[in-house]
Amino acid sequence: MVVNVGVAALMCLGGLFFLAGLVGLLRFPDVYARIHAVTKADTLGLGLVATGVALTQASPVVAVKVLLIWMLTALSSGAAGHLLCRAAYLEEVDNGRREAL
Amino acid sequence: MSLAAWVFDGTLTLTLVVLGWGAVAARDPFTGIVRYITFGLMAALAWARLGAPDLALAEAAIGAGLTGALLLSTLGRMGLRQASRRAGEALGAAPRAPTPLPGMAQAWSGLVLGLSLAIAAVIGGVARTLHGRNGPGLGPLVDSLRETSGIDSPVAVVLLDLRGYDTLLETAVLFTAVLAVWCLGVIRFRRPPWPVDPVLASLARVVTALLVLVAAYLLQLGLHGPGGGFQAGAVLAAAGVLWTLADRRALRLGESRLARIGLTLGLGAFLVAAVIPMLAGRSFLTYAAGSAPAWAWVLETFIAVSVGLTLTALFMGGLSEIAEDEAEERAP
Repeated sequence: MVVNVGVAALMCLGGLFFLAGLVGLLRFPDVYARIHAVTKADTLGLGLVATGVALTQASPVVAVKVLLIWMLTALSSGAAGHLLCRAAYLEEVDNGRREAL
Repeated sequence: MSLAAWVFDGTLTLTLVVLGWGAVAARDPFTGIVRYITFGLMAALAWARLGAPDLALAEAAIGAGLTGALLLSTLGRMGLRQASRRAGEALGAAPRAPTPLPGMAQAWSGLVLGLSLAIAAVIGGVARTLHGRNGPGLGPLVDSLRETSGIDSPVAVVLLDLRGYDTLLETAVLFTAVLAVWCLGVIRFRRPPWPVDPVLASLARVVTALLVLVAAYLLQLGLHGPGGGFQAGAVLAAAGVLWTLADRRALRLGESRLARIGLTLGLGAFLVAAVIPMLAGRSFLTYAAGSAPAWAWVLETFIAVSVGLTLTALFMGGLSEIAEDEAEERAP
C-alpha cells in the first residue's frame, strides 16, 4: 500500500516534469531556454518514472535494468543538450526568435 | 481489447498518418526529416504493438536512427540547412533554397496517400475475412522447419532457411550500395568536416563500448528469439556513426584493409555457405541435416559485422582521409 502510493507519487511527479518540459519547449523564447526545459524532462522526469517502475518490479535484476536505462538516457540527453546548444551557438542561431530552430 | 488499448492504438495510427503526411508535405527539408524520424519511431512502436519485436528493433535502428542520420548528414553537406533557416524570408533568393512542393505535387501525394490507405484497408479486410482473426498463416510450415533445421527462432528460420535466397541477395544489395557510393568518388578534407566536441568524444567512448555489448547480446539472442544479425549490425552501425562523429580517425575506415575485409565478410560467408552443399551434390543453399544451427550462428555473426560496417561506410559517404599535415592540428 505504502509502496503503491509512493510509486504513484513518483510517476505523477515524473509526468509533471515531462509536461513542464513540453510547455517549456513550446513556450520558451529562445533555443537555449527551450533546450534547458527539455533536458530537465529527459533526465529528472524519466528518473522519477524509472524509479517508480523499478519499485514495482518483483525481481531486483529487472529493477536495476530499468535504472541503468535511466542512467544511459541521462548521459546521452545531457550530452545531446550540450551538443545542440553548441551547434546553435556556433551557427549563431538568432537568440530569441521563434523560427530560429 | 480494452478501451485503453483502443485509444492507444487509435492515437498511434492517427499519429502515423499525420506524421507521414507531414514528412512528405514539409516545406523545408529539415522539418521533413525530423518528422520522418519521428514517423520511424512511431512505426517501431506500432510493430511492437503488433507483436513483432524483430521488426520494431529494425525499424527503430535502421528506419528511424540510421536513415535519419543519413538524411541529416546529406542535408548538412548540401548546405541546405543554412538555406532552410532563411527559407521563410528569402525563399528563392538563396542559391540553393529548398523548393516547397508545388500545389500539383501536393495534390498528387494526397491522392496517393488516400489511395494507399484505401488499398491497405481493403487488403486488411479481405485477409481478415479469408483467414479469420487467428488464421494459421505460415505458422505450421515454419514450425516444421524449426523441427528439421534445429534453429530455434522462427524469424531466424525464415531468414536463413526458408527465405535464405532473399537474405543472400539483401546482403549483396548492401555490399553493392557501398561499392556504388565509393565509386562516386572520394572527398578528401584538409580540415575535419565537422568540429569534434570533447563532450561528444567522451560520450562516444562510453556509449560505443555499450553498443558493441548490446550488439553481441542481440546476436546471441537471435537464434532463440527476437534479435539476430541484422539487428546487431544496425546497433553496431549506430556505434560506428557515433564514432565517426566523435573521432576524425574514423574517416580513414575506407582505407583500412581490415574494414574492407569486414565489409565483404557477410556476403562472402553466405556465398560459401550456399556453395558448399553443391560440392556434396545437394542444391544451392541447402544445409546438411543438423548443420543449420552452426551455419546460422556463423552467418549471423558475419552479417552483423558487415551490416555494421556497411551502414557506417554509407553514413560517411565519400568522406575519407584527412591530409596528414592537418591531422595533428588543433580541434576547433
